[in-house]
Amino acid sequence: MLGKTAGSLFWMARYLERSENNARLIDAGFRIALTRSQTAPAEWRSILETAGVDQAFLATHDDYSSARVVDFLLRDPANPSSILSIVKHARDNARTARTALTREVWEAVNTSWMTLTDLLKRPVREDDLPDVLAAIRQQSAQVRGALTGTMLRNDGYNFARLGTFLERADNTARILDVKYYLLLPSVAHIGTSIDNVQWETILRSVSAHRAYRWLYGAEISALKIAEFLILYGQMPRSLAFCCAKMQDNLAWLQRGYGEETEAGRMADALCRQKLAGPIQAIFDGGLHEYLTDFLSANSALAMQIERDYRFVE
Amino acid sequence: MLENRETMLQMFPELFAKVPVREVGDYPINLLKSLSACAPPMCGGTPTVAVLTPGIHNSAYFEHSFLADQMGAELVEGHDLRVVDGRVAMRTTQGYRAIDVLYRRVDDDFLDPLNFRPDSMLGVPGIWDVYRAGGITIANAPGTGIADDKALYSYMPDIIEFYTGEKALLPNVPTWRCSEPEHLREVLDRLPELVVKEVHGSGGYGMLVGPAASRKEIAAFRAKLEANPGNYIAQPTLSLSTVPIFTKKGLAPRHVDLRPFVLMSPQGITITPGGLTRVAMTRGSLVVNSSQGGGTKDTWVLED
Repeated sequence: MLGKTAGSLFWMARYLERSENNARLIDAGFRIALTRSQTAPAEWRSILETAGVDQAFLATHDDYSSARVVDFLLRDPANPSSILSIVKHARDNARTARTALTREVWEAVNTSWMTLTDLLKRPVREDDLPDVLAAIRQQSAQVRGALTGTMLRNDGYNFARLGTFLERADNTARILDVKYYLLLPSVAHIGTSIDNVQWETILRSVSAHRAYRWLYGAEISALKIAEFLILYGQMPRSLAFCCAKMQDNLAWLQRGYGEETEAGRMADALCRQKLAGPIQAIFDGGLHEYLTDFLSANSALAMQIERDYRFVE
Repeated sequence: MLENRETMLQMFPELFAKVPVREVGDYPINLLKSLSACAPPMCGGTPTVAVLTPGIHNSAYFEHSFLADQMGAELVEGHDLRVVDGRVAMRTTQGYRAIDVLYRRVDDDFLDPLNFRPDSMLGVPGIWDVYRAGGITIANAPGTGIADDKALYSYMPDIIEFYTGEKALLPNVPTWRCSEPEHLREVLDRLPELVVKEVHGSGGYGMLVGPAASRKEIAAFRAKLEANPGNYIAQPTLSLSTVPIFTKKGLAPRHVDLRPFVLMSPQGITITPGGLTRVAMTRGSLVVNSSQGGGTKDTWVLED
């Protein structure tokens, strides 16, 4: 397989994952804005930080009004991570990798681009926002369905999966990091349990508020939430889950190519050093420091994959 | 051609059950065989074939990726390739791998920035030297674009006779080369009834359809023609055949022409039993080019 094709599959998957993550973030922010308008600006700011576009937003805006943040996140051409830009990037990558995709996957990506470009042609009215966000998630589910249902389980599939989990791990770690001060033990120690709405926002932004309740019942604690999102291997957006999947896919690639790579070693080390737990040890060492380390290890892994598999010259 | 047939099969399966239409679906495989048959002597074993495209922003990208996919060949761009040990090689996830036959859909000028246009981002630096040393087959060969020169067409009967010793079976459309003074004089006299084309023109641009042009357009074209006669050929206005097409107001006739698909390799010539029928969508128009909104139709050759 061409290095460029592998890279396009990887990036196609990353962008698709990112569009879904961003839709979920907007959804979580929108909920806060509806229910407690006084904290909404702070919430939007942390969402922009999570998406990594806070600076870009401030360059052209001077307040965090819901309508303007939502429009920026959905369709502003000045925002390289707007849903509109992301689906365009995803489609461009799919086109470049066209010969490595099944017709079903290509059509799903292309339909997603056409549908969303049309939906986002004009600013989205507040009334329509839930439908638009649902459409974004649905389009992304359709692509995922086509990928798992029709693709050969070969190297191309491994590269797409690597992109998905790398992006997802990055997203979950960022959500936690932007909110890490809420999860500090000191807050819990003074006896106030974590603000209900705030923790729900964290869980909602990874679509896990129901799952959390099933697992932990009504007990809301910083330790538990962090454990759930970092170490819980059955939660598909946890760092442990994403890293295990990256490890698997790199193992398949190394076996298939009969060649061990630095990326493979880095993924093994990441799982061993960062995800062995227990959660208390992570808190003892400092949650923010832990997440910063994780994020940089994760992006170093992305660059190593790019080098080992020759995405670019 | 292949997508048209696919669409027809889906929309009118009953027609194909009744009428013995010959298959066109093996065109990609025949293309792959023809390309493989052209592999250079340096190739050991099964030839590695790749399709060179200018990239996703090219209007024909769909066709490039479709053919590569159907042939099971890699679809490469210039930046995927480099010269390694005297061969042109593509960057794969496992390192550089030599290519034997490159089916290129990039123009001659852009093939090699070291030998042709230095500003080309689409080509491969040094591919021309590998080609001259016999390290790669480029199809179509650089220079074959001369066959697109419309003045060359006027020599076809002579070319056929020279190479085969026989007269051409199909007559040529009479063609005046405006570079020749007596031809030019005749063309200028009869401008309102002729079609005049640029020799390097394509896509149906830069041409005059005399009978459909206004007096002003003819006068303007006359000036261009007199200024640079060697740039033009002229032909009588042909009454292209028509076929019915489906318009908003129902069935209506439109002019068509036919693009046959013929493959030539050391193994022989393969003529695809079908082709691309190009349709001028505007009533009365003779411009069938897709770049000017022309349509296409499936084309049938029937079993005996």
